[in-house]
Amino acid sequence: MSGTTIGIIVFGLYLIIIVVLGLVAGRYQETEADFWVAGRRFGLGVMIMANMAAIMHGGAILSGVAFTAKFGGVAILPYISFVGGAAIIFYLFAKKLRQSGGFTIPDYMGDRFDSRALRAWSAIVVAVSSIVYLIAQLRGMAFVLEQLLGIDFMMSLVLGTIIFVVYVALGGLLAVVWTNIAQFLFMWLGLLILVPFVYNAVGGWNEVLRSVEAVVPGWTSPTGVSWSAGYMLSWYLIWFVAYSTRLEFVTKMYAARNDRIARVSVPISIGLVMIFLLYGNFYLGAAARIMVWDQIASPDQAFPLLVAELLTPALGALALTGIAAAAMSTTDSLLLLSGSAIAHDLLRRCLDEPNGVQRDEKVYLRISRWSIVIVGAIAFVAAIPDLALILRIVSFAIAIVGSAFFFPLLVGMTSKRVSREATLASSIGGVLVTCVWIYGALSKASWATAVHPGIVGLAVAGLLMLVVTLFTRPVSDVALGKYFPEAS
Amino acid sequence: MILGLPAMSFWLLIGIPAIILIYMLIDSWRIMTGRKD
Repeated sequence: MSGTTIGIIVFGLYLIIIVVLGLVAGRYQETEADFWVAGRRFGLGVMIMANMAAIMHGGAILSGVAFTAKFGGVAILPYISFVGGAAIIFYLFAKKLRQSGGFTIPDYMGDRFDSRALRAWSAIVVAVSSIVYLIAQLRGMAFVLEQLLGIDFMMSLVLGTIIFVVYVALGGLLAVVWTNIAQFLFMWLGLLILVPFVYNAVGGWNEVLRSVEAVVPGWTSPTGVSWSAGYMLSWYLIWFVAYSTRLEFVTKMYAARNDRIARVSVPISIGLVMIFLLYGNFYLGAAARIMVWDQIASPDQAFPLLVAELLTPALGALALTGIAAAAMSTTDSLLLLSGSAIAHDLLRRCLDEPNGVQRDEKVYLRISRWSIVIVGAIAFVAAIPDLALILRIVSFAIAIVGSAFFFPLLVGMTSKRVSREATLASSIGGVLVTCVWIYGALSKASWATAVHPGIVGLAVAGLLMLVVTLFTRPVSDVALGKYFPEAS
Repeated sequence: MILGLPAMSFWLLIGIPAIILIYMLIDSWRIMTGRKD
């Protein structure tokens, strides 16, 4: 059997499984809470899988191997930032978020600071950043389908979008998590096939490190092959902020059965992800650098070529299809995030409830489902033209989300003193400065290329929060009560 | 060299993260057994 045939069979099997899971999850949907937070039914095992799927972004393996091979393993994997971000969620955010009974981060922003403006602003940031990311993901997925199934780009885009929209609109978070687990199993299958072959070719841990260091001196050093110490530190800082404000991850806390499960799931998930990346990025990245680096034109080809060198065509197709399947797991979370920002945060919490409009839960469930369809349609249309700019903006999306939410979450969870006005100023000011800096970086302005936009945005956000708090008053005790029970 | 990595790299990549992680896991155990709120 040829590689393409195996690819089509495995991918077809994968698509059937995720659509069936979506259909079954659809039967459990009665209310808005069922749709957005899966009825808060997740136990520890499901939470760990859901968190892991949320943390491992779309191209975790493909781009992970590429970047690790290129820049050096220690530099590119900021494990300290991962555990630092996880510690913040574990010790400060998880319990309070779960106990607050909200659905989304805009719920937190609106309730904690008693502000409809903050709720609406946060919903817009979540919706826009997720949709931009979604557009890039849909294009990436369409390219994968194009190669695997031998159909043209437009057909691949239509097919991929329809499948995602159908199962997310039917099953909400429950469908997303179930399918993420299936995607994970496919990814593991793809990676485990490789183990004996890579081991035979390059040897064990110590041997690989010795070889790679001999070929590329500095690969195992903290700053890697080409970074300065300053660049490394800013990279670590950006990832620390990105992990503690990772929307797909933080939002999962709402879906746990209780606050203990929400908290305990965090370190276990992050530990498993780190072990996973030690093999899936560090070891394989070093192997790719030793074996195939001289033969490739762009780093993205590192993993596919490694697979092609080591495996037979049939096994190679199996491994690549597994990885490609898993690389799609970010798309559904993004659809869900942007849908919830529009249907739950903007429509229900910002427009309906403050104006006394009451609707049945069934109506909200229908609105939620339509919001997924509409977001999917917008992203689909935007994904048709080749907007190179979108791909470049995506690489800065973590900076926008970080400057919008890092200080409001961190300070809002720990201090009763911080005011609504300070949070508004910090979040809006941080995002605006980040956007200006991104524009500068994209147009290669000299003032913007020296520092990462996220660092500048965070500095402005922190400063505004501090200064404006000094001149304004904290929110009322009633509003504080949800997050500081002793205050009410 | 520790585990084939320069000492500084080892502590950044594995050592310090592992210590923080183990600390969190111990706290997780205490949360699950009701000894920590």
